Amino acid sequence: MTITVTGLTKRYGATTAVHDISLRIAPGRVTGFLGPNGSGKSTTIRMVLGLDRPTAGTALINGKPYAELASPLRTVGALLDARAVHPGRSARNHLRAMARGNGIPERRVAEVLETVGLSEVARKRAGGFSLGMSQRLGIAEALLGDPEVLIFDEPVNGLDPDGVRWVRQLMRALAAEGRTVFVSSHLMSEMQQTADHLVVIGKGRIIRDAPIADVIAGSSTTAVRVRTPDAEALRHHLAAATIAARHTGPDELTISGARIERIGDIAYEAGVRLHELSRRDASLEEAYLELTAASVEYATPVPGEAR
Amino acid sequence: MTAAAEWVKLWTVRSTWWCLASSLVLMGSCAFLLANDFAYDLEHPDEQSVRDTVATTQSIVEPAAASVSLAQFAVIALAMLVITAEYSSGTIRATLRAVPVRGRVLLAKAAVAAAVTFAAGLVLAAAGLAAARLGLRDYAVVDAGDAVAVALRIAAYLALIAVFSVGMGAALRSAVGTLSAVLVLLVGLSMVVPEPASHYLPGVAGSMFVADGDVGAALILVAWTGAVLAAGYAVLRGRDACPRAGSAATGPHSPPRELLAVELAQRDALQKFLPAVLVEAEHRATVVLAVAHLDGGGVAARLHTVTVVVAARALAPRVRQQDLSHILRGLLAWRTRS
Repeated sequence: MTITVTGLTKRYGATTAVHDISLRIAPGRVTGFLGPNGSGKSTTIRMVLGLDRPTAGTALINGKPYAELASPLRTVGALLDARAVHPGRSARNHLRAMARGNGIPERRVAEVLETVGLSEVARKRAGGFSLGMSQRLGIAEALLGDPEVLIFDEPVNGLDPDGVRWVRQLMRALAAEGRTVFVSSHLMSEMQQTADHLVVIGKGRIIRDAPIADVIAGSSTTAVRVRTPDAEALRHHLAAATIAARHTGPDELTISGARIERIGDIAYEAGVRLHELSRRDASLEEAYLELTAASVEYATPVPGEAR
Repeated sequence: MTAAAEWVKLWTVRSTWWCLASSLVLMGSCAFLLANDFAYDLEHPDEQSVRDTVATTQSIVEPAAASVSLAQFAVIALAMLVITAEYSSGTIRATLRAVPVRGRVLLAKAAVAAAVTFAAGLVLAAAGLAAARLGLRDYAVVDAGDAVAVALRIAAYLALIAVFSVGMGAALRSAVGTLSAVLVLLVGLSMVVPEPASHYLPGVAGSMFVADGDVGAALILVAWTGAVLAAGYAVLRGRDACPRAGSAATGPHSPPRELLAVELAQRDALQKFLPAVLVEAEHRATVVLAVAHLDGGGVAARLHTVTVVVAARALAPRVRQQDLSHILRGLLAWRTRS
C-alpha cells in the first residue's frame, strides 16, 4: 500500500506549517522523514491520519482518504505521541478498547503486548509508565491491527540503547515483510541505520526526496582525500585542470566535485608522489545539516509542532 | 463496534465508579435529609422556624425528585469525562484514528453515556425513594404507580443531561469549560432569568419534568440536548483533533487547580451580589471539588470530598450561612495549600 500526498498545505493563521508538499511513500522499504524541530513533520503525519484538516491538498492511503478506510487500524498503524493514553487505564484495557472499535480479535492484545515486552505490566495503569514503556505501548497499539502501513513519529524517543536497536530491527523487519514504513526523526544517525529512502523537510517544504545513498553521495562533503609530500605542487596542477583543492593538513589535500580517477591521473601525469588517495563519504548528518542549513537559519516556531 | 469500544473505555477508568458511587451517596443522603426535615418539623412544632406547607403527609416521590438536582452533578461529571478526559490525556487522537468518522464517535459516546446514566438513574431513583420512605417515617405516602413513574422520569432526565454534557464536552473540550457551562445553564441562569422565561432553561425544564412529568418541559430539554450535541458535532468535525500538540502536556492533574480558581472566583462574585444563593454557591464549589478530585486526585482525597459534599448539604438547612461559609472556606483553603 502506498501513501500518496499531493499538494498538502497547512496554515495556522499567517503561519504556514506545511507548504504544498507532494510525496509518494512506497511499500517494502523504510522511508525516513527527517527535519529539524518545527519543520512540519508531525503536522504532515496528523494530516495523513485524518486528525488535522489540510488547508489544501490531499493525503491518500491506497487511494483513499484516511476517514474512508473501513477498519483504519487494520490498514494503518501509527505511533504519535507516546503519552496519549488515559493515565488511569491499564495498557491492556487501552488496547482492548482500540481493538473493539475495529473488530480486531482480543487475542491480538496479548500478542502485541508480548511483542513489545509489556506483558508483565499489562494490567498496570499507563499513568505510571516510564517514557520508554509508554513508547512501547504506542508501538504495540500501532501493531495491533497487523496493518500494511505503519507510521511512527519519533519512535525512539525515550528508549534505552536496547530499545533503540529493537525498534530499528522491528522497522527493518516490517519493511522486509512488504509493508509501508514511514518514520519521522530528527536523529540523523538513526535514519542512516534504518531508512532506505529519505524525505528531508525544512520549514514545511520538501528539501530532498531520494534514496538514502543518493542523499549522501549528492552532498558536497563527499570528497577525495590525497596525502602527498608535494601537496602544494599537486594543488597547482589540479588548479590548472579547474579542480579546487584545499589543504586539510601539512601533507593533505581535500578535493570535492571531482572523480577520484581523474585526480589519480593528474597526479600521475605531473609525476607527484601519492601516499594516499581515498574517497571520504559524507555522513548523513553532514548531508542533512547541509540540506537544512537554509531552512533552520531563519527558523521561527510553527504552531502544532511542539516536539 | 464503536459503541463497544466506548463501553470498554467507560468501565476501565476508576472515575466512572467514583461518579456512580458519589451519585448514589448524594441521592440517598439528600432524599433522606429532605424527608427527615419534613418529619422533624411535624414532630417538633415548637422549634420550627419556617414551614412553607401545611401538609401533614408527603409522598416519597417528592424528596426523591428534589434530590436529583444534587445527585445529577456526579452524573454530569461521569458523562463529561467520557470526552473531556480524552482531550486532557490525548486519547482522543487514538480514538479518532480508530474511528475517523466524527459523527460516529460522538454518537457512540452519547449512546454509552445515555445508556449507563439511564440505568444508573433507575437505581438512584430506587435509592432516593427508599431513603425518602425511611426519612418520612409515619408521614410517608407510598404509591407504587407514582414511584415507578418518577423513577422513569429521573432516569430519562439523567440520560438527557448526560448527552447534553457529552455534547458540551465535545464543543468545549476542557473539563473546566464544560463544567462551568453546564452549571451555568442548569443552575446559574435560573437564578437570574425571571419567571416565565426561565421555564425555557434546561435546568428549570428538567426539574419541572422530573417533578410533574410535564411533556412540554421534556421537549424543551430534548431541544437543548439536541442543540448542544449538534454544536459538539460541529466542533469535532470542523476543528483539528489536536491543533496544538503541547495542549495535552499539562496532563490530567492540572484541571483541579484551574477548576478551583474558576469556582472560587464565581463563588466570591455570587456571595457579594446575591446573598440568597450563597448556599447554592457553596454546593457548587464542593461539587466542583469532587469532580476535580475524580479527574486526578488520590483515593483519600476523593473520599474526603464526597464527605464534604454530603456534610455541606446536611449542614446547610441548620447552620447559619456565615458559619457554613466559614467552614467551607477553611476546607477550601486547606485544599489549596495541600
